[in-house]
Amino acid sequence: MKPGNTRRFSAGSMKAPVLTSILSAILMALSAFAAAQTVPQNTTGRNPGTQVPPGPYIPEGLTAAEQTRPHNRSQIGVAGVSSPSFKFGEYNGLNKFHVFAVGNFDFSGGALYDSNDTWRWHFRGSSLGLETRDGILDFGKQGKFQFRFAYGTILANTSDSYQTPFLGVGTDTLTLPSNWIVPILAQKSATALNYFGLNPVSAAGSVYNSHGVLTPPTPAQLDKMAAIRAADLPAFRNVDLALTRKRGEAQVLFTPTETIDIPVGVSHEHKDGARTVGGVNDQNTQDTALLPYRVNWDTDQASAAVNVKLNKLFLSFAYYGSHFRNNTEHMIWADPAVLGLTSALAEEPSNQFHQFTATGSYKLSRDAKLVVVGSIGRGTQNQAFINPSLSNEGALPFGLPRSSLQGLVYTGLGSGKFTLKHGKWDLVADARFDERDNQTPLGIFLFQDDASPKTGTSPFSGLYGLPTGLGTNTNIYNNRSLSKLSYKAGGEAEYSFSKSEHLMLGYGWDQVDRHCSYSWITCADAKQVSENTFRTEWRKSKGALTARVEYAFSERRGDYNENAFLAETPMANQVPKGASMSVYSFLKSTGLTGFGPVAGLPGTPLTGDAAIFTPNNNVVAQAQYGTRNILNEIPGFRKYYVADRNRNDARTQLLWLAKDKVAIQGSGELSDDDYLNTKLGLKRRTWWAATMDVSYTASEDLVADVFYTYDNQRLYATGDAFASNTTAKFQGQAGNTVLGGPCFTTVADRNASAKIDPCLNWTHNDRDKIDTAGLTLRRKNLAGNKLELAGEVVYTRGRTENAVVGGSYVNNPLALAGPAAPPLPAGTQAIFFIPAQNFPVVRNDELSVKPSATYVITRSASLQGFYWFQRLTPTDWRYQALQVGNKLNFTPTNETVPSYQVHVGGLSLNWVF
Amino acid sequence: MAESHSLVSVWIVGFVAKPLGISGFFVLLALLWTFPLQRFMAYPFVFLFFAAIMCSAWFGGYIAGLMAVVMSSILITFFFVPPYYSMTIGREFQSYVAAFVICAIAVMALSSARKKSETAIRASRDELEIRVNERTAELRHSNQEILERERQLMLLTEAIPQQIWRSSVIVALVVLCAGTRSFAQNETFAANKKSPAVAGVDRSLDGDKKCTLCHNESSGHVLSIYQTKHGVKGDSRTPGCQGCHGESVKHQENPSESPEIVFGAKSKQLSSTEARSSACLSCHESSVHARTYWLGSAHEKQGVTCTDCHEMHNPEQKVLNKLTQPEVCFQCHQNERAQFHRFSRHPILEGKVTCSDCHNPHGSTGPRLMVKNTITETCYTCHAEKRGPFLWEHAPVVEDCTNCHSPHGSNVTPLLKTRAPMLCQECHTSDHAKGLYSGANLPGGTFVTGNGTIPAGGQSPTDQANGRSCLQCHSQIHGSNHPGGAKYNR
Repeated sequence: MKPGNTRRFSAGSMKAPVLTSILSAILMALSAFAAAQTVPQNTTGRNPGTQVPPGPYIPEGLTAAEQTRPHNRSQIGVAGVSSPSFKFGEYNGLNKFHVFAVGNFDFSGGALYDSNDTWRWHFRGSSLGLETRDGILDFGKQGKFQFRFAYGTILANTSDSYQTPFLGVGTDTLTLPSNWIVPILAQKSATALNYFGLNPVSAAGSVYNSHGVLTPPTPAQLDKMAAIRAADLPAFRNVDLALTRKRGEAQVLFTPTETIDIPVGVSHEHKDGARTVGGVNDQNTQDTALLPYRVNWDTDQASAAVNVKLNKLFLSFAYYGSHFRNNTEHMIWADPAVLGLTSALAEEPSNQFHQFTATGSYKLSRDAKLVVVGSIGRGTQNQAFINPSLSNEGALPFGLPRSSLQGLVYTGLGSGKFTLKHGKWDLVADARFDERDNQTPLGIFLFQDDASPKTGTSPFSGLYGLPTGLGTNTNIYNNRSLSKLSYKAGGEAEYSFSKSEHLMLGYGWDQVDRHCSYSWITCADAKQVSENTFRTEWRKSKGALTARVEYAFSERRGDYNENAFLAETPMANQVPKGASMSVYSFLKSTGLTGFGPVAGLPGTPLTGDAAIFTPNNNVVAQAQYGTRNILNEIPGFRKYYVADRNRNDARTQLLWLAKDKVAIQGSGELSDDDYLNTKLGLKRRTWWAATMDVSYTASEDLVADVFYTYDNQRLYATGDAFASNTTAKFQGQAGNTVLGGPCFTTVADRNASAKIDPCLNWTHNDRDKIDTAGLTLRRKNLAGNKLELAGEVVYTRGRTENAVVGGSYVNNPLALAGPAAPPLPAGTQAIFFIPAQNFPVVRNDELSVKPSATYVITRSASLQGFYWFQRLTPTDWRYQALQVGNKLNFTPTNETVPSYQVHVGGLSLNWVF
Repeated sequence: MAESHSLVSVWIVGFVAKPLGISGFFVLLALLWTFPLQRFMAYPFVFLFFAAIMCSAWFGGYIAGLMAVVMSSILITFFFVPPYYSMTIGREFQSYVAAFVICAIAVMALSSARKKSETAIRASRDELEIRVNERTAELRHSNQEILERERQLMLLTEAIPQQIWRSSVIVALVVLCAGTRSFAQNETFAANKKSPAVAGVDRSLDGDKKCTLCHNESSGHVLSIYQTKHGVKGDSRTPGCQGCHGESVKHQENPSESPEIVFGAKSKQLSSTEARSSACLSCHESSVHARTYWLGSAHEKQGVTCTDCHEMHNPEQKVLNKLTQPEVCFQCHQNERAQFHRFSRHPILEGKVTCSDCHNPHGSTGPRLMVKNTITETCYTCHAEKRGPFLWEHAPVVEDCTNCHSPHGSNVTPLLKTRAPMLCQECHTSDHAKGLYSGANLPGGTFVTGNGTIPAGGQSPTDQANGRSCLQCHSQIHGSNHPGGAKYNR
């Protein structure tokens, strides 16, 4: 060994911790002055887009002593952001226009590497000048014990353009200003919240009156508009939507002997801030608001394990626990449409989960191994239900069956895997089951929809243990305790033709059984689903070329049950007043689903139970099974996650090291899901992506990498906007008026077959096409080996296309009801058929440029300058509806699409010692 | 005193903790596997408990076997013998349970006796092997001595006549000494040449000297390994150069020969994946960072080895740093690299979340190398508020978060596969979910009809197609705990 190799370092002395503390204190102090958030990350990696901290210069030609002792590194600097953008600073915190401090450090030390002492420590901190700062301290005696303390902050900035009229943001009660005027312009709609008043253009627009005459607003209506604008517009003010997640954790690892390890860890996380949540005031008019929602959550997690190694046997007993607490249990808000009315929302309930896992593995021989795992978990949730009197919306007029859920879920896992390498064969066989057994007790919950007071009398009122006074629009619901048991088994055999060529064949069987504990009827859309998968893979290396091809085909089949939705409505199994059997019995005896007969108006009027349950051959009457909503499914409809499916997956990868200087890598992936027995719903999903990477190493000093990825996803779905069969000819208009569209010639014909109108069938063709291209460049040893340049450019071009085929009917605005309405001229269409239009393309184009330069001052000090330009130019139609004055019933937020163009630049001084 | 403490701890570990651990483990496994299988059986299914007892007795001896018998009896009585969840045994099952206990004891006795006899056979075999080795060594030594004497004799017989012929006795003695020395030198060379071959792998850092003589500070960053956990002399587990690279006798004799195990990806002498993996797994297969699931895992099956991701000589391994880990993963997962540049994504590029927060690249019990048993369990480690159980559960949410979300990135916020209402209409076709929503339903939508362009009337715009679409009202889509929230709107 050369003398240099035996040189010792002095990091184990007390000097290093003291120095560390002082430097940390300096950095912390600097960071305190930095009000802005985040550290720009420099890029030097070979994969564009991934980032490393703006690292200090590491000199080359290190001595043996330098190579064998830990290094301490620190970075202090100043940087600035050119303009504020929440989207740009979504996670990195650079969401404000500001100057901020750059502070990163990485200190380590401990005993000498060749001493018998194994004490070592490591202290790292990053982004100290920003809100997103992190820190990790590790120390311990290797092979004996190890401690880790970590702290980190994650930001999630959502929007800085959100506006709301609600007061009390940050609390669980939202109110409206005292001078709030309900924004309903009677000229547009006499009852529904329409916010037209906030927009002078739309508010002053003309409408057709009951005589079919286009009429401007009256002076009184214009005065009302002005009053609404004067009172309500000032109430809208900006609220930043952002979440902060602060997490601290402690871990300890004890190693009492070489064969036993005991890792223990605890963590606490607090999540705080605001986001939006949709709140419904009136389900009938769909008056809703995107409310500022206070997030105030705590999550504690703990884990512990005992790992024991006994010769060929390895055993592990582990515990994991998680406790989530929501510090705000509910939210109440005022209805902007009805002064004095309040609505309530139950927030995410506090819950706990505890899990024990036992793992064992045994080396049967040098080449054979068996691993078995068993795990059992218990999740509970028992937060008190919301108090029915908390709001005055009248949602729960009949009280509650119990005060809390008493939610209980058991999870279980059993898994076994056997692996064997024998000669040229490599074999794997595995079996697995996992279960979610929801043991939450059921209850019957009676509730009214939003702003839907009781009307009529339910055919179940006062029967079957239910209270009297139930309306026909009262929902009588059972909760469902969704449970699932999954079995899997399979095997793979790989044959090696040579050291570099392999062929694998595999088979997998998977069965999922679904049920609901205590449910009166099968609740699962597919009670049992089985899937067989066949896989093959070939890979070969030859010289500079490495190739891999994988293919898998799977076939999933299940027993789909179109009446599973009835599990939620226990009255479907009870006989309603006036009928001779229950809805469920009726459906079973007729072989129908909740959709009823797939037919137009019956030739002769229906009688008996058919007239009660499926009047006019329509869907099952809601009141007859105690629901306000139409829950049924159309025959032939399949939910894609349980539907019969043929899946083809293929993947290929090619690596060519053309020369020492050039490497080319290409890969392609394809996934095709064909829901072959689905007539309605998602019928096909196809996804493919291709990537090309080229790396060029001109010399040790110059490296360039380029990549391009194209990603294409297509979802093809079908639907049916069926209506109800009626005998009506046309509302308000006498006679059998003319209809538009290719399917029927008269309104009467269409209404008679409204349920099976082929013009109401539609298809969606949703495509995502995304191009991503990147370039990284690194040049070292410039300016007399003192300058290093690095740069990265990444461009992403995202397109989402939502193509729609089909159409819908819309009444001619001149075809008005009422005796005063003028009749339409002969031959004029009373109802137009409107062909569907594609949604506008959603675009997200992002360009990011990040050059940096490092200048070496001395062997241990360097100066680093960095710059970051990023631009996002998106378009998104969903924001149109959020602006005031659009004819929508939800409270506007005036949010705008997050477009930005931001420059970040800075200078930092780096030390290595 | 210290000795008595040590005896007590040895007794506790040997006669209580170890048997209890082994028996508890196997019985627990049997219990977990019996739960799903029991539903297919008319009578209590106890066969897995027999297996557990056998394994306990085999690995832990009589005491562990007895403990397993007791535990199995209790668990079977409590869980699988009517009346369930009670220690009472129904009359018709009393004989069944008694038979089980008797058979269990017999199985336990048989298993531990077999184990004992096998251990005894193995011990005698080992002892025999040692004796044979000793005898062989003695024989070899004797042979060498004989050979040495023969050779010395031969030298003497050759040297003496020559000296008599040419010179004096003194000169003959000098020649004799020289001849003997030459022989000794030859022997030393032979021994030097042979020593690495017969020596065991030197796993101490002192043993590294034979490597660092050549592989010194001028050989890149080879010596940087002494900054890492693999270069701590005080830790008896430290492997040393030969612990990973193999004994490499030929390489020591001739530097142009490659070491036994070569990890450098660019090297033409790169060792096979099996050899490279074995070098690491010899220590890491079952240890604190257990690589228990490595064999048969997705990465292992595709020929990925430890050093494809880990740089053992680098004290700042990219794969162990949150900020730089994705660079390593993206070398192969290039499509995922692109996905993390999309409009909606997890904060991977900022280093706030990293690949190994969700995936365990060394294999796991979950699908897609998830760190937990299922995808949902993995997501709940950060999103515990969505765990519930809720009063009103949404089936696809309970099943799998990826039914609706693309966790690596999406063009649609928040990480959605496609946007609402299209996403929701893939599963819902009743009530207002059945409707056709198109670009005609956006604000400002007008239609060209036979009568010319007219306002869209009641068809446009619609709440369901705009803003948050379905989620504007059904905002509690992950589940609701409001007694009136069956439609996920409260």
